[in-house]
Amino acid sequence: MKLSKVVNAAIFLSFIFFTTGAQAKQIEVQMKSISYSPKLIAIHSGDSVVWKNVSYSEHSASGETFDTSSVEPKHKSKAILFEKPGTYTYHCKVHGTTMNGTIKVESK
Amino acid sequence: MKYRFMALILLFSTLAYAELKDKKGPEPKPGAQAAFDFDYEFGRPIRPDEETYNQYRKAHAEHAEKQMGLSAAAVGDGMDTWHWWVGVDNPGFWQDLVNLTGGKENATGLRLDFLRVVMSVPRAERFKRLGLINDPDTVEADKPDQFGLKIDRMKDGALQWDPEKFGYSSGVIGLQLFKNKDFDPKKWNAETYLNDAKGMQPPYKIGMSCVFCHIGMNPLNPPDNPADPKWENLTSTIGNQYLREGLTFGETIEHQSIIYQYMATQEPGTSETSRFPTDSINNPTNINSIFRLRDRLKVAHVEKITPAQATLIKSMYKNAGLELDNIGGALGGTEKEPTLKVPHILTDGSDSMGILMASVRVYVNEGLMHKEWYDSWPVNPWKMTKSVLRGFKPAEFDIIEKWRKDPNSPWMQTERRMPNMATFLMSYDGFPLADAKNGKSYLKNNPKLLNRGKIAFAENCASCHSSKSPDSTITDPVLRKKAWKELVLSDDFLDHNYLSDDQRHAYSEIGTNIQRSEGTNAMRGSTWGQMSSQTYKDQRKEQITVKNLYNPLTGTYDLEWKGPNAYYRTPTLVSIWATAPYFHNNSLGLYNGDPSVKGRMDAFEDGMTKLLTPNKRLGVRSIKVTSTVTTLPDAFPGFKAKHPYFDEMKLKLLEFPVGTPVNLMMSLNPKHFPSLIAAYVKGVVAGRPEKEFPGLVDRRRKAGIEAVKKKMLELNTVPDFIEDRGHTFGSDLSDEDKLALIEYMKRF
Repeated sequence: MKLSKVVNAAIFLSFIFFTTGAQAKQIEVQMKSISYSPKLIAIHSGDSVVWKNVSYSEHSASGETFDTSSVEPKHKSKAILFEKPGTYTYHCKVHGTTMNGTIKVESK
Repeated sequence: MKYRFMALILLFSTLAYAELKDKKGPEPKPGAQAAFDFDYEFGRPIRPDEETYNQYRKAHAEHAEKQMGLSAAAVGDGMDTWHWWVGVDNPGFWQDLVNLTGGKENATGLRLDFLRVVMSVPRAERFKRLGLINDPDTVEADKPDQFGLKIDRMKDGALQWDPEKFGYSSGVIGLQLFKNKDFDPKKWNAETYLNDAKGMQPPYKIGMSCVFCHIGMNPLNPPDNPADPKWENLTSTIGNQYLREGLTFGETIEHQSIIYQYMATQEPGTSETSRFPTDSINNPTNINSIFRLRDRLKVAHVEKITPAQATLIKSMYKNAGLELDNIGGALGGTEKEPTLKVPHILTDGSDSMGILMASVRVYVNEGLMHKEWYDSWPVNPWKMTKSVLRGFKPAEFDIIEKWRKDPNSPWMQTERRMPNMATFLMSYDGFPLADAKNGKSYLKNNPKLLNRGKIAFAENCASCHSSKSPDSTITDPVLRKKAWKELVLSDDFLDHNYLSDDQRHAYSEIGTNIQRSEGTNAMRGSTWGQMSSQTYKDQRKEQITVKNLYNPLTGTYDLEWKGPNAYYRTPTLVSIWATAPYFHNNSLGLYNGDPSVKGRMDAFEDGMTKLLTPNKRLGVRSIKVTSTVTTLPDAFPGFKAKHPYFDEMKLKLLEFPVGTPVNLMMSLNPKHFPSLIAAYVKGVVAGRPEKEFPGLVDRRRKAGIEAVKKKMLELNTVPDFIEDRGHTFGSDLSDEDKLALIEYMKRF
């Protein structure tokens, strides 16, 4: 009985660990000269977006509720975790709304 | 009589035809997203050793903070405005002009299209041909972009601003590209556009910022190749004395056209700021150097303004976040008799409502709120019938009652940017020759000579060309002369000296070509009527008679002309070694197009010599004349199609010989055109019945033209043709004194 309880608990914990660990993803968005690529992404709550600056100038990804602040060029990156579902628009603080993107966060 | 009537019909029909051809340009919104979105294509990446605008900006802002105590943040923001701000909507103005003139069948041949200029004039030739300055942050395109446009591209990494607000560089400093929301790729063809832009919307509109005219080569560090400057070779406020504004607009016009002759004879380094809201005077004015603005403001003048203007100023200051007593235009006086303490801006000192007003006004002249501005133009090409009906009279650009109501209008947005821009403009001092490359080799280390030059300056120049002056209580002429001498001889005379009293001086005192000072745009009822002080308007009420003007038809000095009193504001002499040619129209002295120190010094020596020795000037040869047989534009296609008997008039044969003064034709109010045609007919028939005109015109054409020229002279708005005359102060000095004075002035 004791053994089965331990096994059950182990199975449950493993389930929790593996399900959460397997589903929390990191999605890369590239910061180009004057655009984000991809411009629109859909993720699940708990996922992170990693903005990687592949251009020659400084950028940011700045929305109403989040801000990477400055991301230096030459492949520097910054990540933001999105927990709440919703649609998040953002832009670059240096280049204004010309350089914009959207993240759709859906519930799991 | 019949022909006079026909002439009137001709004019009205032509204008009605123009009305039918009216093409209203799209409302420009540089900040709006293009309907068809696309990516701007950058050029190669910036190299590690290349300075960008961002670094140029940072270095200057930090220098201004350290040396002058100005806020680096404000200077940097102001520089962004100066360099890239297009008043929100001026790309729409320039696109309207493309729509108006871009068609192949354009009668004048004029194509006002900057996109065409940046594509068709090779980067390597822009400075030499047009005086345009290439943007160091751009490179020549190695292949056409996705739309077939071969426009210079910004180096990847150079763009450090929001392109919706400030645009992308076109390759020419001061001309910015904005995505065109009316662009439709299905209707686009680059080749067709270049040949005939009629009705076609390009992917980009071009907007103009202040630096287009004001940036120039740095006198202390000029580029080895002016077509390929680096930021270190440029300076933002000296004024581009190499800009060929006229040719930029008109280089491709057939040379036989009077429009080409008008554009080609415009002096380098000048801007014809009354070209669009015309005052019917061909009077381009030099692009000012902006130095020592803070020292200039120390000699600001109290001028009367109206109570309505005072209310306007209060509202403007509130919008811009300025105090009522700010140094750029302190409000004073009483409610009934308000005053403003102001610098005198523009060469005629007409811009007299403070720095904020003057700055925003310039943006209107670059196309801000152009739809509203057009209605103030005497000749509005989009509403020609209305222009005719009101007798080509101008109207005020109405900021008191109309155009400041919307807090987000381009005017209001621009107002809010001006305080930082003013701070930026305060951050420039002069350029000492001693600090230039090999500059010291031009300076003679001879204290005795310098002393002599200082005395000559004190006795002949300083009373106008200094912002420092002796105690005003010294009024005795002998004592005052002595006080001036002591002041100029003092060691710190040149320190913080604007080298101008910033006063308006009457034509009768200066004697230079009067055309510019007779401009009427700042008078009541004209475009800038609300933007000039009451004092300026009052000063111009008096009527004067100008005698002994040169008559180009007879070669004698017997013309007499009556008009309102007119003034020129004293220009600064700061860095005068680097700013030749001289006078308000850049007509005095050699223009060599050479921004090297040697080039500038050659022009300085020549200009100063001619200034002090008038008989060495061009004189009659400075009159702008046609270089080839010239015809009036064939602007009557619609009329001709409707009226076959038009050919009887043979108007296209109104040919003027080589050497005809351009201003005979270009300083005329269009209301006089019927009189010119009537004079032509009279000249041809010479007293015979007018019905004999068709039979006589072929053999008596010359007599007809002579009659037209006489009529043109009679009706000329301001018949003053010699450009480099007047301002003969110092001409009676000895040769030794002149040399000493020139040597001293190299230190300014």
